[in-house]
Formats: sequence, C-alpha cells, structure tokens
Amino acid sequence: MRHLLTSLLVLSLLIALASPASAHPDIAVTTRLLFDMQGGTVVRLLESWTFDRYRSAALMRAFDADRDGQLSDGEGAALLDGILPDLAAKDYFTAVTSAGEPVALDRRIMIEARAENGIVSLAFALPLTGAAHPDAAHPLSVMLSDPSYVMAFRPAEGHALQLRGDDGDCRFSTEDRPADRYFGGLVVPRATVLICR
Amino acid sequence: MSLASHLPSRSVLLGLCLLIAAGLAGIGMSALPVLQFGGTYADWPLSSVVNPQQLLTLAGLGLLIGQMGMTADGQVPALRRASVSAPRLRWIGCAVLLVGLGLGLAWREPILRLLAPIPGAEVTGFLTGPIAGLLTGLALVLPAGWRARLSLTLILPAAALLALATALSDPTLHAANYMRWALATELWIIAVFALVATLVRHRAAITGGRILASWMIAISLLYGGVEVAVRKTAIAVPYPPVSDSGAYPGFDSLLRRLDGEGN
Repeated sequence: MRHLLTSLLVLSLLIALASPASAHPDIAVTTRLLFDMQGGTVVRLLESWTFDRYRSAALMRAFDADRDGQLSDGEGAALLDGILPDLAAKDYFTAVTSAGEPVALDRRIMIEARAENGIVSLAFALPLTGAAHPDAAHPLSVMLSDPSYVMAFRPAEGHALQLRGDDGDCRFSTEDRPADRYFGGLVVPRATVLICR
Repeated sequence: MSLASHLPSRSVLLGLCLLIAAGLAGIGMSALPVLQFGGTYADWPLSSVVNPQQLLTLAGLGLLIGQMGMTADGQVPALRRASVSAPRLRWIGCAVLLVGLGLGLAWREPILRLLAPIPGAEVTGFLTGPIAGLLTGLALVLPAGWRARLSLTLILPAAALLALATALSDPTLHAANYMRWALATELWIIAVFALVATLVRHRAAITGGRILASWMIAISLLYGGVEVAVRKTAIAVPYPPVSDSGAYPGFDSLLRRLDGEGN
C-alpha cells in the first residue's frame, strides 16, 4: 500500500512538472499588412506583428532592462538584435508571389519594436525587388505561415489589410491555400491577394 | 557476487565523472542568460529537453543501448551466437539512434501526417514525446531474448519521434541554434546513461532497467492521456487585441520613418 501511494505521488509530481512548451501553437501573433504603392506598383510590404501576452511577457523579461513596461530605443534595438537574424533566416515567414511566381524580399528591411501595456509589437517594411503591377493577370499574393506552427498568425479584427498610394484602384481578397497545408496537413494557410485595375 | 565487484576501475569512473561534469557545466551555462534577466524555467531554451518526460525517454534509450548484448544476469558473453559482439551491437544501436533522429527531422511532414488522426494532434504536439517514451519503455521492459531481437527496431521510431518532439517543443522564437543544442544535450544524456549501463554489468542493472521501463510506459500513457484530455479542448493561446488608432493603424511610426528617410 505504501509503495502504491509513493508511486502515485511521484507520478502526480511528474505530470505536474510536464513541459509547458509542448502545446501548439506556442505563439499567437495578430497581424496587419500594408501594401505601400507608388505609381501603381507595390514597392514595399509592411507587416505588423503583435505577440500574445505570454510571449510578450517573455520578451519583456529578456529585454526590458529597466522594467518600466516600455521598450526604449536601446531595449528595442537589443530585442531586434536578438530575434531578427532568426526571423530573417526564415524570410519573416512571408511568401510573396506575383502570378504564382515568387517575389524576392529585399534584405534591407526597416523594423521597429515597441511595447504597449506589456504587449510587444514589431512593425517592419519589406522592400519588394522587381515587384510588378498587380493586375488581374498578375495578382500579388502574400501568405504568412510558420510550417513548424510555433507561431500562428491571424489578421487583426480591424484594419488588417491596408493600402497606401493606390488611388482607389485596388482591391483585396483572401483565400485558403489547401495545397500549402502544413503541420501534418492540419493547418491550411490563408493568402491575401491584391489586384489593381 | 556483490555489486561493488562489478564496478569499473577508478580511472574509468573519473573519465565518466568528467564527462558528466562537462555536460552539466554546459547545461548550466545555457541557463545563465535566463537567470541573469530573471527569466523563468519556460524561458530556458533547454526546458524542452530537461523535463521529466523527455529525461525518462533519454535515460531509457541510454540504458537500452548500454545494455545491448548483455544477458539477463548482466554478463557480456565474449562472442554472441549471432557473431555480433556486445560492443559492436552498441555501436549499431548508436548508429540506429542517429539515423532515427535524422529521419525524424527529414521526414517531419510525412510522419506528422501519419500521426494527424490522434485526437487534438495539433495542440498535443502529435503526442510525439509520449509515444517515443512508450516505444523506449516497451523495448526496455522486454525479456532479454526479445529485447535483443526487437530493441533496434524500436529505437529507430523512438529516436525519430524524440527528434520531432524536440523540434515541436521549441520554446524559442525560432532560434537558429536551438535544435543544435537541444540534440547535443539529448545525445549527451543518452551517452551518459549508455556508458553507465555498459560499465555496470550486474543482474541488478538489468532489473533496474526493466523497472525504469515499466515506469516509462506508465508515465508515457499518463502523459499522453492527460495531454489528450486537457489540451484537446483547450483554447489555444489567445490572440492579442491591437489598437485601431492612427491613419494607418500599426504602421504610422514606421511610415513616418520611411517617409523621413526618403525611401
């Protein structure tokens, strides 16, 4: 009886200590996209990522050195130094295509990090190299996806898709991409498609 | 015969202690940055390796490889009937382990698709950790004869799922060196247990391995059950709300900088 009780106690302890990191997705990211246009061509894509409160808290623990709940310029720069190379290595989890052909992302991005009420956001501008005019024959498609599903992206409820400099000639649509499903086929990514007159 | 008479020489023990100390120092060093900024256990990149479930699987794999070729009473015959000596069998075990780890990473999507029908697979990490523990426990709990026949067959999928479990529980924000360090730590833990198992040639070691195996099976089943029961219906991490203020919400500051620099 004593052995049984001891065993149950140890088993309960082990279960209580189970790794919290195994649930997926680990990180929820609310996103916004802005297509920055000049002369009918998309010259850059701007993305805003806002991390969930758990990941934000972890980032603040690591980078908010003075513990004031804000990211100063120096703290923001340290955060970007810490995570940017890893995100860049994965092309910022952003796949851009024009008429189905990949559009290269310029590596000279501009990025800033900020914290508001303990929630960390990144905003970055990805210049598009050789971006074409996104007409009906050459729709520009942007897909945010993390095949390891560590991060799950979801558009913001308001102003998720924005345009600047389009003169009202462009429209968005979103579509599922079942052919690009990942994580054992359980996650179907959504793409944003931009078409202009 | 006493257990002490089966222990290795002092120099071998010293080498083993140095190996353990070096590994522990490495693990400690990896935790230093987290301690420096007052982080928690979850902030530690190796928290996905140094947790009870994973440690049990790693210990089991180490014992399994270390005890390869041993008879039920912990002895190592000079030459086995199948003409494969115990040391060679252990090296084959190591090779199968490495191949399994590699296959797990290379065939990630096909393996995940096989496991996708598991209830709540996407939130339970496809139960890769518990299944790896279960397979290792099954191999270790078998009687000596069956263990000799089946252990290599079971190490392969166990190692593949172990690699997947490690990849799926990456606690970092896609740190490039995470998998490198996590796998190195896992191999070190397996090596330590394998070396200890190789050195202690006694019936008690074999019995101890089988007791550990029964625990591994029970704990893997419990972990798996708890994961499915708790996380299947759990709400995923809540998405953060964002502010709608400004002309271009979320981008005003960045656009000002871009326009200011004439880009």
